[in-house]
Amino acid sequence: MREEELLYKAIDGIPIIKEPGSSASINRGSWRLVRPVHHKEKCTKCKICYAYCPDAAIKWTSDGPDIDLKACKGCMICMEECPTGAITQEKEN
Amino acid sequence: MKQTLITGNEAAAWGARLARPQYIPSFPITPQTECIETLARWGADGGLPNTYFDRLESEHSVMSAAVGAAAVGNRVFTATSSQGLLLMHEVLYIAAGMRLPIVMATISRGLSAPVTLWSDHNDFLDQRDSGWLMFHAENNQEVLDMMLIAYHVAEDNKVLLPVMVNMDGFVLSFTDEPVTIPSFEMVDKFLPDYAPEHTITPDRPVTIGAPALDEYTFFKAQNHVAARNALGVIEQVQDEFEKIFGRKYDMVDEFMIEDAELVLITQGSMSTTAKAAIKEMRADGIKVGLVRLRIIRPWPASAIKEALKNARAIAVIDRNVAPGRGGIMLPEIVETLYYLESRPIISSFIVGLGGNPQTEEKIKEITHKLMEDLESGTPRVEWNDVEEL
Repeated sequence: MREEELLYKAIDGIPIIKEPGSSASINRGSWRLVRPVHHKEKCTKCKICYAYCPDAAIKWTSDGPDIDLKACKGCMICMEECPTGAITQEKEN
Repeated sequence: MKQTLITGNEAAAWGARLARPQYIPSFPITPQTECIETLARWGADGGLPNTYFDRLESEHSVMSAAVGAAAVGNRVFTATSSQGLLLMHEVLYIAAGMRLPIVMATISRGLSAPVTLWSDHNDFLDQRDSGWLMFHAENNQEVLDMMLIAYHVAEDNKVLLPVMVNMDGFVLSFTDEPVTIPSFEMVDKFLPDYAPEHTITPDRPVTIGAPALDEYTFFKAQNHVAARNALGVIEQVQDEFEKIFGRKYDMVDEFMIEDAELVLITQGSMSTTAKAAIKEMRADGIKVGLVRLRIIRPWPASAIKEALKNARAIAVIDRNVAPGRGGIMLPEIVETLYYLESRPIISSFIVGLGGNPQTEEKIKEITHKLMEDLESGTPRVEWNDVEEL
């Protein structure tokens, strides 16, 4: 586009996100290389993975951790910290 | 309206006070300290009734706090110099990108190393790509006036960009000059209340300046268009200013250029000295004039082109240097004049670094060298004030 054709968009030209919390609806884990997989049979429900997740991608349920893959970046800290090996990793395609 | 003797620092403080800012984050640095000390004194004495005067631990924090305060809808003023301005550098881009109309007085001082306390324009011009609008005053009256014009332009909905108002350290910052200080009533008539459309409030929570992926270029282009809009807005605001205060400002300051074959291009306080020298040279029959750059961003290309269209030889006098390149304003002027039908000889003079005084004699020497260049048809790059050790 030629420079003269650039139109001034007033407030729409300012980088504002008007809806709070709107990023919850988008996939923030798209660059993940590996994904955590939870094995229920080894889990003692100690909540360590839930506490250690730096991105609050793990919700706690009565069945143990529920990993939100739209939020998870695949850092695998949960796997590293899990004392019983109840979380392993799988390659993303 | 009263006229009184005040320093450049006090003129900037008065400009801020008259604009009634709600927030002043501050950190001291020579030669700016007197400006915020003056505001702090007024604040302590009750002279800034609706202003929160804040003392922070660094210039990076000052500009960060300024961004936060402006984002929640406050009119903000701050001031800095030299290394302090460089420490703000990162946050300057954020203020511009978030389109927050902060006004800041910068009091030029050369950059280390080696250490200097005195003025040159490298600190100010290092910010020229930050997205801020950049004004440069010649004298203390213009410092005060530019402050008011700056708020009006910055807060215009067609612009919404921060503005830096620069003055030369020591030469203006610590020198008393007669300045007409307008009344609050007049300023209130000129400068509307700040009522921003985009603010962060608990009632309407928004995010400003979050990551952008494909839209990044769009927002950068909008910053550019807003700065381009500022050209027209500045002209309009300066007209309004003249109507209310009676002082006229143009996009560039032209002095004796109607029939001038030789034109000096200057910035800041040395322009006053140069004008005095030009008057004397005119008496000797030398056809020399001056164009002073007072609006650096947005770049007033057509005003500069118009002012220089009849010049046969031009001396771009840079009080700054980009090592490995030369004077910073030189390429800007050369590009602006490239498509003129008959291009003038353009010589470059690098002068006054670290506050080296620019006397009338030095201006006359520059003019005589420019005359030689016009005769020989060869431009030069000349360093003044270089002392061989």
